[in-house]
Amino acid sequence: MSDGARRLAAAKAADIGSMFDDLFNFFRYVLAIIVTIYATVVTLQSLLGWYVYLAGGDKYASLLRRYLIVHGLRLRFRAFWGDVIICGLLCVVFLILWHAHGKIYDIDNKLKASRIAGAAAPHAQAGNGRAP
Amino acid sequence: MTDRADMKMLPGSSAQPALAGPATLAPASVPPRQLSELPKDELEHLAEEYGLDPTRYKSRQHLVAAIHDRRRMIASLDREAMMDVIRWGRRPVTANATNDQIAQEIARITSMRFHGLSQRGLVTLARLRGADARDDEPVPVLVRKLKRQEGFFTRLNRRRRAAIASVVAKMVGEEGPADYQFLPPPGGVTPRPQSLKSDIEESGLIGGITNRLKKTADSYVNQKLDEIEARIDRKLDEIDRRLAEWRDKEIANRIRILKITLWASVIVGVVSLIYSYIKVYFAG
Repeated sequence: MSDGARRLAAAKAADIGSMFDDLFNFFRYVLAIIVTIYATVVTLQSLLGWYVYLAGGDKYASLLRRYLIVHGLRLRFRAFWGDVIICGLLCVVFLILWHAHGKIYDIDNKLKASRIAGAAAPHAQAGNGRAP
Repeated sequence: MTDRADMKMLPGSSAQPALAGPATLAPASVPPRQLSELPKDELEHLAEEYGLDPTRYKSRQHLVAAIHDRRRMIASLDREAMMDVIRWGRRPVTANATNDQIAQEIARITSMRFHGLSQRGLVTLARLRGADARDDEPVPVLVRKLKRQEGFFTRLNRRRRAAIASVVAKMVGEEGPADYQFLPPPGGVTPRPQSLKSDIEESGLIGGITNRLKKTADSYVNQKLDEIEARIDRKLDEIDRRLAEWRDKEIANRIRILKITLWASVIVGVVSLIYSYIKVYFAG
């Protein structure tokens, strides 16, 4: 393994390890994991329930399917367009924040790597001086 | 419009298609023995439907011949003239009714008040009631022939019924006849909107009152059914409207919840970014 690769692996390990070093990081990670799993399970359960209910072959299920389609077609977007646009913009802001986090972590990793490199350089020079 | 398909011929008469009939009459396309093969009671019922009195015919063969003649005569009648009689008799018929059906409906008209009936209608009625009427005869002559055709006892009975009807109508205090609807609505037959007096005069005291009660009950039930139907329609519309409102409200709530969640995520993300920035540049 080259020196640079070793340094990068060390920086990544430090990044994952930081989840348990820092209380805020721990809170963020645990919250994200729990909320994501919970929301996914609840959504899938609900979708499965609706699918099973609407997939029935009897005439009432068929009637209900058609009725839901009609209601869906009668839905007016203009009644909710304000909230929908705000939701879209908030999603964009969220993605930008995510990207900004990535940039900051990247800068942190680079700083850590440069510090490690800076700390290792005097030792190397000292070792080189002793060898001859 | 003629009823060629319904015409039945006497046995052996297929070889003589021009048997004293009009020039426009086509020969029957059904097997000629079909009519004569009918049971006696059915034959008599058929004769009555065409306005014939089966008791006047001595043998079955005579009755078959009479029905046959009547059918040929009906096929030769003018449809518009028959419609005049139908309008005058306030009978419900469909627009596409055949001559045969119209004639059967005319045969049920027993009224002897010819006011309002056209000359051609009188000719048709006279022919269907068995009187010998020519196309060019004036109205008084036709009326006289029709009255002569009625018979003494029938006339006496009718007068008696008319008297009873007048008494009953006065007792009940009946108003005049309602508006006549010539064509019934599709799928149902409109009861004849005739006066009680006319009903009793035509069908007798019990028959007239029974008919009137039946018609009134039918009309009441129809009205109630219409009201129930309208109420159900209103309820369904109301349910649909409420469901649409509930749907809109539910979607608005879901979007609001999503928006709050996104706001919370963005705020936590901003705090996290500031925290990370401070940690990297100042604490790191």
